[in-house]
Amino acid sequence: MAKNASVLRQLLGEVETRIVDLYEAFTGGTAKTAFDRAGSLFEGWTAEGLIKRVAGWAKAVENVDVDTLKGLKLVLDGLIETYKDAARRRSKGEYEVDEFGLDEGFLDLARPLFVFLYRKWWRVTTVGIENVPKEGGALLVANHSGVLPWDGAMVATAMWADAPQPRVVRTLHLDWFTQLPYVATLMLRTGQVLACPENAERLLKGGHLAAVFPEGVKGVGKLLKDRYKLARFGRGGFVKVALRSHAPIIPVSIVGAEEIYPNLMRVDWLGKPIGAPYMPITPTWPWFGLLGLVPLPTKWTIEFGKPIDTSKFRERDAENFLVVQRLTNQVRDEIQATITKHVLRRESVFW
Amino acid sequence: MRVLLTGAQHFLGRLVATRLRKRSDVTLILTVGPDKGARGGRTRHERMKLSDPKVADLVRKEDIDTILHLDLGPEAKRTESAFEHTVMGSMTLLAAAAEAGARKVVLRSTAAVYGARYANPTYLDEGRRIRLGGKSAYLRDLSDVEKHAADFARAFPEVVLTILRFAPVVGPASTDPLMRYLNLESPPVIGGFDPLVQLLHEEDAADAVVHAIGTDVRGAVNVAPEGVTPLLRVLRFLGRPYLPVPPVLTGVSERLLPHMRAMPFDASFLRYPCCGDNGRMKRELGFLPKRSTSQALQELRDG
Repeated sequence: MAKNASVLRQLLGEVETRIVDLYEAFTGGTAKTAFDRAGSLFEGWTAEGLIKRVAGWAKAVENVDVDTLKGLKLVLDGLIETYKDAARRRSKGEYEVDEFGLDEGFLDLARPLFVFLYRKWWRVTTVGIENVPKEGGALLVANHSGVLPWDGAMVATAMWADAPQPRVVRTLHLDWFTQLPYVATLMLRTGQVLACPENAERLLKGGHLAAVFPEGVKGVGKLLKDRYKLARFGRGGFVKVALRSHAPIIPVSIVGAEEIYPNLMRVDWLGKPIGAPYMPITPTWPWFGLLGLVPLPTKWTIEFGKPIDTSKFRERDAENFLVVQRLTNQVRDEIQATITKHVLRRESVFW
Repeated sequence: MRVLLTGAQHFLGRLVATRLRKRSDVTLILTVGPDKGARGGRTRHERMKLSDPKVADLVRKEDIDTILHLDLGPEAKRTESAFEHTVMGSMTLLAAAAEAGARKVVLRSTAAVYGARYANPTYLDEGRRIRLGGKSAYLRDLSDVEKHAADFARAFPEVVLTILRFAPVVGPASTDPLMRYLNLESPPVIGGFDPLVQLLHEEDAADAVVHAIGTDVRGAVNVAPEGVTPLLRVLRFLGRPYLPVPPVLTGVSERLLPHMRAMPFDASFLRYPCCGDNGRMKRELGFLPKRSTSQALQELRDG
């Protein structure tokens, strides 16, 4: 409990610095804290000061180059036009999806949001991304956490934003998500696929880059006190699929995602009526409603490990439980070791 | 080749009959059904209930070697006589084939027998267990036919039984459940859901039947085109003003849907995918539809 309390204190402190950051971003100031700055705002509240201030703004606008403004307008118009055009084509059904329902055009439109989260919100540091093969089927295996599967989205964003050769990651997700209206459609459009052996094998044999989170619900619904302790890796189904399709396994360790929603307690019976596999209680959820869905801006590290070659195995080995179990443990131990390394090395959850 | 054909009054049977008439090796096309039928040339019609045991005498007397059972009965109004037509009729025809020595039977079925379920893989292969269930009585009857056909194939290996599980068939003449749904003035959809569907063009479906006659593939084969498309894209592409039904209160909205008339089988098909894996069709049947899902859709709109 004491451990949790210290993390909570850290969280509150971080929320404060975030507010300062946000304020500074908007005002362009360099004040140490938002509260000092707020005080200085009122200093000029005399008529003279106000006139000076307004004059200052006017001058600032005047000083802006006309061409810069025109350029800005052009960029904005272009952006709006792109989105409008996409919406128009979509409303006429003039788009294609791939064999698993990925709509590349839609993904392009959604990417800026994910890149924002990747670069600005969680400031993800990615290590070893060159370990991911540039082509052909490969299986990313990662630890799972964070109540909502943002970790999957960030692995996919890393492969798009930071990889020497961008690739689309097909994340394999829980069957619960296919039952959720809108979420199901969103996942389908962005190229995510229901986790089952048939889909995984088809993806890998088709030369796709797939990602799995073998901890499943046990991982994503993990309590804060259990963070960075890996749960059981299912029954090793991911190894079987990799062996059958001779795809290399790449262990992926994600640090930072385990604190985005500090899950203090699970009241799973509350989730039953809506078919949710778990129902967390966090400092903000469900108390603040949808606002409780805003994840904390922790600092993330994603490390892609060296590929584990599966081509030397025979296809029959997939049915050998011992072979599967040894490989499963190898992957799990490597991820656990990498996570521990990064957790010990970092000074704070937030930077 | 002497062929017995059921469902000649429906779109698929008509398209298949047209193809058979062009072939010189077909010496007799005998259409059987409870309704009146066209005759002329090598085509003859026998007005008879499919569940009538006299079908066996007909097969023997006319020296039929190939039976194409394409008549699955009407989807709407599952009355007792409709059940008799679909289930008892299919069982009678299969038994007649074994008793009277027909060598080859092609049975039409649909990929919908797998059922649209939330945990379905994107592509379902023929090995998937068929469960009797669901809300649609028609679908239950079709699954019943499949179960019986599987038992029949085990007991009578001397008859080469090919079961074609068709993806939704579309085209100007098609009366498939999905096509009837697409032809509604404002087809209902369930808000927040957009299942992937396959669209098989009716000409390709007929080609598949004719192709299957010449092969010795036993058991079920998914007949599905390349590619999938979200259902909403189909509706938008065809310019249909669809009617979203709120996804909340799922039980209620699904119970309301039948009152807004047809949908493909039942509401689960508006929610979850049910696409066939066409690997066996390409490998063993050696057949590939000329049009992909997208091309079928394009042709459907542009004619």
